[in-house]
Amino acid sequence: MGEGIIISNVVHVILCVIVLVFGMGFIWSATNPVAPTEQVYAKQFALIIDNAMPGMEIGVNVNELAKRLDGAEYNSLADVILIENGKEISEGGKIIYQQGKVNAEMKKHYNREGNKVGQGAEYSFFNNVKVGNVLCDFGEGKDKIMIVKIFNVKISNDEIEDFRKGLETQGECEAWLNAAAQK
Amino acid sequence: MAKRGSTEIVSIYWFFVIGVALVAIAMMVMVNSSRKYDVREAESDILSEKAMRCLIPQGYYLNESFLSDKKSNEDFEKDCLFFGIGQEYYLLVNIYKFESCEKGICKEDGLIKSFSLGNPSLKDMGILSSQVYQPKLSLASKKSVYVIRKSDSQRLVVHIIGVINKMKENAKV
Repeated sequence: MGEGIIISNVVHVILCVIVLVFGMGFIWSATNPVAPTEQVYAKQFALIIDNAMPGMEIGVNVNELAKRLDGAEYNSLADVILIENGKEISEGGKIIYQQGKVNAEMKKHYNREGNKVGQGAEYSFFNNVKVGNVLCDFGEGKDKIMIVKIFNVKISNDEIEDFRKGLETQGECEAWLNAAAQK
Repeated sequence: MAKRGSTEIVSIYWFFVIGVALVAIAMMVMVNSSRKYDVREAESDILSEKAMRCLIPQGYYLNESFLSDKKSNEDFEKDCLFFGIGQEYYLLVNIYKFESCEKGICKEDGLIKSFSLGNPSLKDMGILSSQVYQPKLSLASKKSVYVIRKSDSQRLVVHIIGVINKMKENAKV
């Protein structure tokens, strides 16, 4: 009889553990930690752009974004944070302004299991400027900094491209960070 | 035999309790993780601050070109680098004579110049929710500054109200 009680207790404990493990797994899968990350980055970049003036260059640490994308295939975090500049559209002879917006689109990327990483988030900005952004990746386990430059709306897209080309190598990024630290 | 039966009932009851607790935790975490970060307070502050920086670039002298009768709302929007202030925003700038203002309240007969951009229906709701936070209403930021007109050293008061709606992106509706 004593042996029966031990066996039933052991079975009970094992069942409890199984239920708890499945339960915690369910909670883990039910909560999507990526969606708030996308939202935070989209809003953070939009507010930075709104508050900036032409000529400013701002570095934003995007380590959290890289952490969330761990395991997913992506070329560059600069493709994940997409900054769309505002446009002037002519409709029936009338100029209609279309605001610029920031898209944090982790949904374009897939994790190891083949599932989409995020849902995508976007936030519009009202500052009438052009924006160029470049990612400075200092390697595995090191900081990832997104550098955003605010341009006058009248400049050509070639100037934005020149800014991007000027920060292509790690050395150029380090020089930028050193110069920013000295200011 | 009766004892064994009661143990089984306790066991089923135990798993039921664990199940209920897990569902409750999952629901709480899901509610928390799906919440939206409300940045409208900061955004409305940036909106009114940007208007202020444009009107008073040096911090005390008003940019007098904005007092010209020829300056329209569209000119203000263009000169101050605002892009397509649409239905989700409202910006009101009123410039008063210093003498017409007392304890932060200015009489309408002292109004020299006014600019407004965006959706005016957001104004009252925004002011209300900036006093008592209401996530389902638009949010406003108010600024009031004393400035000097350089040409004749006349003192003026500038009132700025910036309102952001963007409820879909910032609050659960």
